[in-house]
Amino acid sequence: MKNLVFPILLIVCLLSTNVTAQTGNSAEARGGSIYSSIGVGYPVDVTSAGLKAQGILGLTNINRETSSLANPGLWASTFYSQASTGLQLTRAEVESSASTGTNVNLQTGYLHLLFPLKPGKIGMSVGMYPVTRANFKSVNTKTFNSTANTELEYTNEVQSFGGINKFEVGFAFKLGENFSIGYAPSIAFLTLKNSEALDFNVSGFADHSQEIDYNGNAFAQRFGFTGTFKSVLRETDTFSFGGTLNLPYTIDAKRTFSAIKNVRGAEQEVTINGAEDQNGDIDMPMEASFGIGYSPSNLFNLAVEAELQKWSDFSNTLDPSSQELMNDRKKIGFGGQYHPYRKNLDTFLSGFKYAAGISYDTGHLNILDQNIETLWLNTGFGIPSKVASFVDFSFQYGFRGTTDNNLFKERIWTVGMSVNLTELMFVRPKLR
Amino acid sequence: MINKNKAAQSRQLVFSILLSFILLSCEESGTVGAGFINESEIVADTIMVSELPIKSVDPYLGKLIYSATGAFNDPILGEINAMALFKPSIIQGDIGDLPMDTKALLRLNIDIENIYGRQDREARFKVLRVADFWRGSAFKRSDEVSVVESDGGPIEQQVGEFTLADFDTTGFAELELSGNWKSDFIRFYNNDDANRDSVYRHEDFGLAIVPEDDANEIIYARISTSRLLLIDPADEDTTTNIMLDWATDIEITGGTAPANNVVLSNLYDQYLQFNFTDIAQNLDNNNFVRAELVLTANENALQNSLTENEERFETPPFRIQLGPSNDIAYDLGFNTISSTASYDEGKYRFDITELFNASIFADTDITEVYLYAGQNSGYLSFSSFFDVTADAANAPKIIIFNLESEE
Repeated sequence: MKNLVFPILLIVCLLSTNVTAQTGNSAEARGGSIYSSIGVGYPVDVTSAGLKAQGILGLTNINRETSSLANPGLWASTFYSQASTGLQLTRAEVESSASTGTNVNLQTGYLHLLFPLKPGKIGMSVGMYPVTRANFKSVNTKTFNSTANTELEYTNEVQSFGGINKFEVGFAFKLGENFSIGYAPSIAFLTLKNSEALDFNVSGFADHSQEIDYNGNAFAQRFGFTGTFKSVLRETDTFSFGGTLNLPYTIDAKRTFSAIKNVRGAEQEVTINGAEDQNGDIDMPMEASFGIGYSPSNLFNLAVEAELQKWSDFSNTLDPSSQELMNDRKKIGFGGQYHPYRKNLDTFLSGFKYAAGISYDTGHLNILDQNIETLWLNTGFGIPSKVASFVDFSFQYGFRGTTDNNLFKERIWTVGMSVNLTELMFVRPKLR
Repeated sequence: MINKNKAAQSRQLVFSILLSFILLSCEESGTVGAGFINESEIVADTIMVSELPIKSVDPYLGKLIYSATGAFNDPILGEINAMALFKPSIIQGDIGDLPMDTKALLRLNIDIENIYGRQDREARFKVLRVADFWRGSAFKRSDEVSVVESDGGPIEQQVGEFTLADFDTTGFAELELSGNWKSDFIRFYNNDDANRDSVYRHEDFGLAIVPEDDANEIIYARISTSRLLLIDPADEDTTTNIMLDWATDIEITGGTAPANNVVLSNLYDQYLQFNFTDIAQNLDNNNFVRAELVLTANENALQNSLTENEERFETPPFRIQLGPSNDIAYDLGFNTISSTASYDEGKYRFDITELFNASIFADTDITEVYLYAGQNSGYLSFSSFFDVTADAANAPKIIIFNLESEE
């Protein structure tokens, strides 16, 4: 029972933070990247902190310590039921040619459950995770001319929150000794809210708020494969490759505009004629990724991975202006991991695993002929337990965007944390 | 032992980082991003008002806080003749009957500061008996009452007289009342019949403060704080009687509104009636944060129409009220005000946002919207607006502040 206290406290702590980040008002008081306010949000790479620390998505089977949502092909190799979740705190120093500021955002986590239907042969995955995320808030002071030929001032709190999430159930099968494939159909949900709240500092103008909600869903599917080979160059090494293909999908979306106005002395939500609900399609792009990994021994592994997202194919009939800013996103990452804890040494620092990596992302936006690129420097460590579970931390420093053409450059610090629990946390392990 | 220490240290490390998450995530967002993201802009549209229909009404002029009395020829409003009507109460208290030689003093309260017209303060006022029945709570401008002049018959009818010089700095003067009114009043007072109050109300018509013929100023009497003092000459016991009723009788003739102007006084005798339905319905596609009716005062005409020694009370508050009304004369005084204009640099601005919102989003009938001058406690005042025939800068208009999306 005493052994259960730590994992239970950890899960409670993580879940409570996640709930706040998704639905609570306190989360809405924070801001993420300004670029997340465009389109349906900024693409989210759902990886554990252990993989973030390497700057990769986790496409290969080179490191089987933790489950990964990145590649369905990996799910066949699990022997234990696993559960993982994570969250990420981002602090961005934002700079433009005219101003500077700081945005802080506690990013939504994910939940991944992995079950060995036939241990090491067939696996089933259940996941809930974000695909895109908008989490931007800005309070702007603006002016307009009154009829008295004076400039009146007001503040406009502009928020963009939400994005696309997926609920996914997938299966993976091992093919022979070295290969496995996976298929993951999912329902993609769009819930995006763009709101404005005007606060006038002059009498005669009542405060005003309005919001545009985008809601919709779609059927999505993706495929993954992986190949793993042992003793390729030496007896202790492992070589692995993996790839994924996410098919494009179309979200049947609805745009709703509503405003709060004072009607007969009471605030009331109203619909403006000409701004009635609209239905439209949002075409999400095809995604493909591929990576290779090499592990000379069980103490060290390296991986290089690349990803392509065809955001140039993105379209949104409800907000056509946003699709003009989309650009194919290409990302490449390279990193490695060192596992001294496997030596079973007694020193404190040898009780962890360590990771580092670098990644470059062209971004999915091209604004005024400027790609909104991101360069990430990554590192982190993981804390293993005796029952094959991990708590991983990642630390990233990134540079995104540019101040050219009155755009914004963000210097981003992120701290990520993920927890990967196996059924061995709760039951006495048995030999299988 | 060593492994246990390592585990404990690892837990401490995890929770330290978790604590850091919670603390760091409490920070607020920044404000960088203005102009980059799509946000709405406020854009003003102007709709010219096509007509200013003036309606007339017979206003209630009883029991105002101040009762005007005097005379003045205002070049814009016209020749004004006003008299204040009042009737003391006959509450006996416990002092018993009064002797017929009781001394009657009217402790009259006036606003010593505000005088409409010439500021010479030389006008003389008479207190006369009223010859007709009237009742303050129902007294309308069209009601005609007459007074009995002192030389109108064999009985001495003038009850008192005064000038502004009789008042102290707080606006009070004690004026001796005499004549047959006093003896009639004492008889009513000493009457022990059960119906004495009813008889007094219907058979005694009270008194009026009337200006002498050459008066060129209007003063404001505060009847509610004035008193009738009855002093027994034998022992100088004093009975203080409050006022039972009061009203103002005003007659205005002539008056010339400046060209392209409409004049509205605060007598509630005239008001503007708008039908905003069509304008509001044409706005139902607009996401507006304010709708504003703007009237322009002809300040030049108002300021230059009086001679050097003449003054008016400041322009009255202008208000908007939503109809329809079955008794407009009553509702202008007592019904809920929808909007009171702000006044700045010659412009009256009425916030009519809620009226339009109510019409568009709650189907409220706004076919009758009344614009009128508030009575302002009885001080007589008015303003002169440019009407729909004036140039565009001064003509009545509605400004709509639309919230327009950049999308």
